[in-house]
Amino acid sequence: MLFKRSFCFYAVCCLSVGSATTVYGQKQDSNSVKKLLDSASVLIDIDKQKALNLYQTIITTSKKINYPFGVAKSLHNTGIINYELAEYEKARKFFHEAIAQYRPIKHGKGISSCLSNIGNTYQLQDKSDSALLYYQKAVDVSQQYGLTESAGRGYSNMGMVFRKLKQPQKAYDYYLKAFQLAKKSKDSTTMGIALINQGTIMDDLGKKEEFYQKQLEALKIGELSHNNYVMKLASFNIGDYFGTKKDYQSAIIYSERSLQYSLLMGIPYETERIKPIIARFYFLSGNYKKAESMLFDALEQSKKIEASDITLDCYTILQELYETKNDFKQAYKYQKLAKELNDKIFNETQVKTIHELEVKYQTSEKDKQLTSNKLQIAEKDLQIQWRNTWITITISVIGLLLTIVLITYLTYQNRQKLHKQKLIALDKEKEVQLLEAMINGEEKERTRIAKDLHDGVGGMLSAAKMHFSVIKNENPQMNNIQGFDTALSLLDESATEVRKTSHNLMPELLLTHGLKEALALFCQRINNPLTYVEFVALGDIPRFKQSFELSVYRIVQELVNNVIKHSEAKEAIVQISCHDELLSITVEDDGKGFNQNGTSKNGIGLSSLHSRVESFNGSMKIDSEEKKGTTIYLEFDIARLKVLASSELA
Amino acid sequence: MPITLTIADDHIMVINGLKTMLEKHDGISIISTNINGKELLDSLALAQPDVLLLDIQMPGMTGIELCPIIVKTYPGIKIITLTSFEESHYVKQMIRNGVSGYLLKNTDQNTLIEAIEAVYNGQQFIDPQIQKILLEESLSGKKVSSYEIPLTKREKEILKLVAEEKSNQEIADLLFISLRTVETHRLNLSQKLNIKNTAGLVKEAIKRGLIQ
Repeated sequence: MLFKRSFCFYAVCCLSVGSATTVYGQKQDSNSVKKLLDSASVLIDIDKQKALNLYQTIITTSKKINYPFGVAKSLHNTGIINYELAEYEKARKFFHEAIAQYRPIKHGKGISSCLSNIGNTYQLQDKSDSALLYYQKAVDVSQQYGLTESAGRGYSNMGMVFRKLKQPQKAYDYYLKAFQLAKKSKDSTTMGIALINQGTIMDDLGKKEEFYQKQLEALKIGELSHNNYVMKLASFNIGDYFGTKKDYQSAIIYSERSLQYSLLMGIPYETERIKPIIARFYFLSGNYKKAESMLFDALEQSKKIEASDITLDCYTILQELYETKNDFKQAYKYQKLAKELNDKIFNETQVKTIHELEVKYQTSEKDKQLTSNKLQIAEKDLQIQWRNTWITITISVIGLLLTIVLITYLTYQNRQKLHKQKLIALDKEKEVQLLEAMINGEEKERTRIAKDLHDGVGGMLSAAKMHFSVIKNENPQMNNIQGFDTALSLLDESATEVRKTSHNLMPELLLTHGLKEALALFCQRINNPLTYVEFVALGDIPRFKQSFELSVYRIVQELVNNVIKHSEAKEAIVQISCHDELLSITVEDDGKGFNQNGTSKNGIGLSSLHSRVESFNGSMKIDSEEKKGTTIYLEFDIARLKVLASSELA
Repeated sequence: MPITLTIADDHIMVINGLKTMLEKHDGISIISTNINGKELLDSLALAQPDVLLLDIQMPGMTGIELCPIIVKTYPGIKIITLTSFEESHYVKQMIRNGVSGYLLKNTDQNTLIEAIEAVYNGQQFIDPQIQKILLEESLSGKKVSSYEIPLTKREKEILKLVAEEKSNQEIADLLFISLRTVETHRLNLSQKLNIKNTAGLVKEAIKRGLIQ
């Protein structure tokens, strides 16, 4: 019974591989690809891995030369190889890809074949629904392209599914359809198979006669079309029928026929498979000798082709045979052999199954691990992404904060600085005001004292002298009194001294004639045999605000006094010049100079001069070296002072 | 007929002193004494003297201001400045303003009378002490030769750098002073040496041995 089922799959696979060898040429470039496809199809049976590699190459080449059929065919056959390796998922993937390639070039046979093969994979996985769906699709496509033969085979396949689903009526209907279509396309193989299977269904239903009739019909068709395959199957089934009827002679006749067709087809396994069955018939018919020789023949051949299941059959029948012959020794021997082989097969199957399971387990483990790895990687990626995002955000926030802090700090510092500057400016202004007030007060006091001296004491001294001179003139004898003249000259000197002091305190000339005249007179007066003071005035020196003129006068006065008192200079220059609103004064001597870093009394005097100069926004530069004289340079921006001066003078 | 005299001085004591010196002298008669400018002008309007003794420093109008007015209004009056100011500026200014004499207040009786008489006779009289000051001043007056004009150290430095063809900015950078200061020094140099161009300055620098 096992035999009856297996042929259905064979038919389909044969079709697939068969179509794979078919070559459709459209392009000249494709000739080499066609040749490659041919060699690959041969390789399928020899080395599947090599075949797969070759198909991969063909796909690449075909894509390069734009030959879609090459791609489609290679994918198709790659699918078939995977199918044969029981990699059904993979196989389906390749079939689908192949269909996608077949569609644009409208290769109906290819599409239908692929669909049907997908159906096969589902069928093998006991997914009947999907299998039926794809078989139906295959039929539809076949009919669409007018491929009656393919459609017939599709129906045949569907019949097979329904038979498996124990729906004999439906199965029968589809086989009927298959038969009709096969008849139309004169496809004897499908016709025969359809009839045989119809019969098998009858057999399933216990309708032995109908089974027999169908097999006979199939045999007739096989004979008419010289189809060895159909004839082999039909005669085998008829043999079986007679076997069950215990008509062993007829059974032997049909079985031997089946064996003959098998031999014609040249498939050793199929041939050897029938032999033990015939032998059994001989055995049952009492022809032990014939049975024995046939079994030994089958035994030898089956061992050669390593078909252990056939060998096992042979052992079993031989054991039965020897039992009947009461040759228990032989019977025991074959029983033992059968048991051993059975165990071996069982073990092999088990090992194979275990191995398969192991492979499956490992594969699934690997998949699991791969998936978990992928998951981990994805998780890590996500983590990294998160971390990166966080880092970016953190850095941005920190950067922003730092910027804000920096800006705030700078603004604060700037404000502080401005504030400080303002304070300093205010302080300075205050200082200047104080100084000015002080100077003004001082000058006022000086003016008052000068006036008192000049007007009071000076006047009185003058008057006294006048009276004395009258007395002297009126009394000529006074000329002889020495003391009188001395007193008179002392009086004279007192008047001069008072006048000089008064002038020093308040130089009248400065008020009336300005800096140039006043300084010129001052220098002239201070001239003495030890130090010669040269006065140089350059440019037009205008009149200034009185307080400014007085300050400048006092500063120069003090500088020159310092020169006279301390420098031991032989010569000194006082130079005043005015150009472009810039009043510059130089006081220079060739005296002993001083160490500028030293803290002498000089230093204190100079620092007070500094503040006085600064109070008028002027600058003072002191340049002195020991034994090389001293140069003091003053500079004033007079734009403001002059304007004020003109209004004051008016 | 005695010489008529008017005195203007803000010090009564000085006026008294003058009176004492002059009252015994027959040739001079004091017709008016005044202690300020306003009083003086009022008295002159009533009677004009031959000679006026005018002080410079007085409250209100000073002698310097009064002088041109009197000279213009009463050209016949001879004016003698009687002051304690011995500065030549005042002397020159008063003479320019039209006075005939200049006397210091510590003068003696003889000089005073001599001055009044000289002025009255149409002569000019300058106090001998003042004459001495003026003479000294003229002797120590301005030197004409540029060769002897002393230059300050800074001016010498700048003259040297100018001669070395440095620009004002370069000089300023070298000496750590402002450009404006350099320009001032250069102007001073030009004026002092009476040289307008750079070539002249170079020549001057060579002459002074500042550069070779």
